[in-house]
Amino acid sequence: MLAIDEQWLHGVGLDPLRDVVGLIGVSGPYDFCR
Amino acid sequence: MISAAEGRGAQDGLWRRQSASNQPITFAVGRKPPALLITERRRVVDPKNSTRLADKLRSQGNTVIDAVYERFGHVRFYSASRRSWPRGFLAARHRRLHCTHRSSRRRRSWVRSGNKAAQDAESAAGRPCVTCAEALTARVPKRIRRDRGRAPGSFAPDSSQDYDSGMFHFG
Repeated sequence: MLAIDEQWLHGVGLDPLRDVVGLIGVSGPYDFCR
Repeated sequence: MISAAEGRGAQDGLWRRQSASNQPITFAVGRKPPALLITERRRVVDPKNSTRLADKLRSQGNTVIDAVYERFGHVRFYSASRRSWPRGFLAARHRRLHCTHRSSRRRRSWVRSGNKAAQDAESAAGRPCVTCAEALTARVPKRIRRDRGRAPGSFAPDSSQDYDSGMFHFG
């Protein structure tokens, strides 16, 4: 969520594209709405 | 008068509308950091969660690798590496509490002290239990499908039928 929804890192002065090298997700509930 | 089924349906719809704001896929719009999404074929968490997110990120021009493995349970992902502490932790806990496969020093001491459960486990020692058999086969995961329509290094099942074709069986 930190990498995908930038509002959280923006809240502490960071930016996902600049400060996150990559996202590794393991068996994540990314889309439980379907 | 609203029936119980209708009530549950309305509740479910409300839950889905509310929870959409908590799902990462909702925010997968625009440029994002590169992503590696790994999931298991089993359905503790539906693997389509990963493939849907991967597809959406790709549709926005982002770099994504998604891999679906079989012979991996949800928890076993964290314990698959011999060097990772969770595996050691889980294995030790499993051997102490449940395993009839190997005899542990702790269990032998429990047998000597008259612990009935430990005695039962010891009497069955030598026969791999389901969890141990699973762990042994899970050490070398098998990647199940390569989607040739995607970029090199990108893996995903070809269709939902791949997920629905049945559970993995040990043997």
